[in-house]
Amino acid sequence: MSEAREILVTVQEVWKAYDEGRVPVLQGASLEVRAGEMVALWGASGSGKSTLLHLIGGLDVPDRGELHVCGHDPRRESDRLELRRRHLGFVFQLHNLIADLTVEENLRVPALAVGRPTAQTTARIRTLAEQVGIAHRLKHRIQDLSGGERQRVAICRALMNEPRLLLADEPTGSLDEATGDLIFSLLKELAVRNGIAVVLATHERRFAEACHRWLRVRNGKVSDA
Amino acid sequence: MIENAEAVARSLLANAPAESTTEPVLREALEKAVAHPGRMVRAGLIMAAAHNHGLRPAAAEQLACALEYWHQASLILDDLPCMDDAEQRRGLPCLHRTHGEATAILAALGLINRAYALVQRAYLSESVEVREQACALVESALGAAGILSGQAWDLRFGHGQGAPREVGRIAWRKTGALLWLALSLPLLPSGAWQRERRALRALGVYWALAYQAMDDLLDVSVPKGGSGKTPGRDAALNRPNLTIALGAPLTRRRIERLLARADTQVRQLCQRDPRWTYLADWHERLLLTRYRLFIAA
Ligand SMILES: Nc1ncnc2c1ncn2[C@@H]1O[C@H](COP(=O)(O)OP(=O)(O)OP(=O)(O)O)[C@@H](O)[C@H]1O
Ligand SMILES: [Mg+2]
Repeated sequence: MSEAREILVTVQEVWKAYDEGRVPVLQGASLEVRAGEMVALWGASGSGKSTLLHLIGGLDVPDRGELHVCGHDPRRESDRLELRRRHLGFVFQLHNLIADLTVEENLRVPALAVGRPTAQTTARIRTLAEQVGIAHRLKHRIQDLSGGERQRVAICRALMNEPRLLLADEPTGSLDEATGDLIFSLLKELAVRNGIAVVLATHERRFAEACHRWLRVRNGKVSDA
Repeated sequence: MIENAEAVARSLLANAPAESTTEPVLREALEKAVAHPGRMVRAGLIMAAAHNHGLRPAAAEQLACALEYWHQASLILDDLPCMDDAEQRRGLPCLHRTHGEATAILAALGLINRAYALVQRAYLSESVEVREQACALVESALGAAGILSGQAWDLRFGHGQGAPREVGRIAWRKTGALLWLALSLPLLPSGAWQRERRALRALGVYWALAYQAMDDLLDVSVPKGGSGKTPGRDAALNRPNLTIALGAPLTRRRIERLLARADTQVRQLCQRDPRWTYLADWHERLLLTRYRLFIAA
C-alpha cells in the first residue's frame, strides 16, 4: 500500500469507557487507514474492536481523543446521518436486513435515503448483485435466503451509495467456515475492485492475515501486529 | 434485523394468552391471531430502542409482545361488522369470519389483557416514577381519549368541510397511539424519552400521519388482492380517507412534506446523540413504502 494515498481515517489517543467509567474499553487507541486499503482489527472478545468501529462510524462518541473520518469529525459531525448515509457502509455479523422485504427492496433503501434517482438505483442494484452472485435472487425475500446469501446482500447494501469506507464487524461470524471464507474473499475482491477502504473487526487470525495490514487490539490500545 | 424478528415471532407465540386450560375455540382463535403477526413494525422499534438505550432484553421482549398484541386486538375489533366490516386482513379471512364475532371479541380482549400484564412485568424492577410514567402514557394512548376516541370519530365521520383536518386528527389517535407507545415505552427507564420528548412526539406525529396518508392512497388506488386488505372500503363506508378528501396529487404532496419533516427530526436527534440512528432505519423503511406506492406501482 503506497504511503502517498490519502488518509481516510485517523483515530488519535481515543478513550472510551462504559457504565460511567466503570468499564474502561479503549485507553488511548490510535490508528490510521488510507484510501483503498483493507485493515483488520484483531483481538480477543471484549477487547474493544466493535467499540472502535462504532466510534469511527459515528454510532457512538468517545470520551476523549481525536477522530477524522472521510474529512468529517464524527464527534462534532453537524450531520452525522449524512456521514452514515453517504460516506460509510456497514456490514455486521447479523446482517441487519429487513426480513420480509425482497433483496431488491432492501438494496433500494439506502438509495432512497439520499434521494438517488430510481433508474440509477436500479442499475446499481443490478451491477452489485451480479458482482456478488445474487442477481437471480433479487425478487426473493430475505427470510427465504441462506445465511451466506444474506451476507452477500448485506455487503451489496453497504456499497449501494458508493462509500469510500466500509466498516465490517465480524461479517463472517454467523457463517460456517467454508461460507465464511467465501464471504471474506468476496468482500476483499469487491473492496479492491471498487477502491474502497475496509476496516474489518475479527478475532480470526486467518482473516486478519489476509488483509493488507492488521492491527492488534489489546489492553485498550491498538498496535501493529 | 431478522434474528430479532424471528425471536419476536417466537415470543409472540410463547407469550400468547392461549393456555392449555383456555376454552378450545377461543384458544384456536388466539393462536390464529398471533400466528400471522405481519411486519411487527412496533416490536422492531422496541427491540432497536432497547438495544441502543439499554433496556433489559427480557423487558424489551415483554414490551414488544404487548405492543403487537394491542395492535392485533385493534385490528380484530376494527374488522368487525359493527366497525369496518372487513372480509380479509393480511390476505387471510378476518378472525370473526372464521371463528364468529363473539369469539373474535373475546380473543381481542384476551390479547389486550395479556398486553397490560406484560407491560407491568416489564417495569416491575423500575422506580415508582418510571411505572407512573408508563401508566400515564398507556392510558393516554389507549384510553377513552386516545385510540378509542379515534375509532369513535372514525365511525361518525362525514366527508364535509374541514374533512382533511379531521382525517388527520383521527389518524393520529388511531395510527399514532400504538406508534407513540412503541417509541416512548422502551425509553422510560434510561430517561432518553424524558430528554427528547418533544422531538419524539413530533416524529411520531409525522410518521403516523405519513403512514396513514399512504394507507389512504393505497385504499383508493390498489386493485383487489394487491394490498392484503379489503380495498375501496373507505369510500364504501364513508370512512375518513385523506385521498378522498384531498385527491391523490395533494395526498402525495402531503406525504412528501410529512416525510421531509420526519427526516429533519431524525437528523436532529441523530446529531444530538448517535444512539438515535435506529430511528433513521425506521424512517428509511417508510421511504420504501412511499417508493412502492409512488413509483413501483
Ligand atoms: N453499551 C455498552 N455498555 C456497557 N458495556 C459495553 C457496551 N458496549 C460494549 N461494552 C463492553 O465493552 C467491552 C468491549 O466490547 P466490544 O464489543 O467493543 O468488544 P469486541 O472486541 O468487539 O468483542 P467481540 O469479539 O466479543 O465482539 C466489553 O467488555 C463489553 O462488555
Ligand atoms: Mg465485537
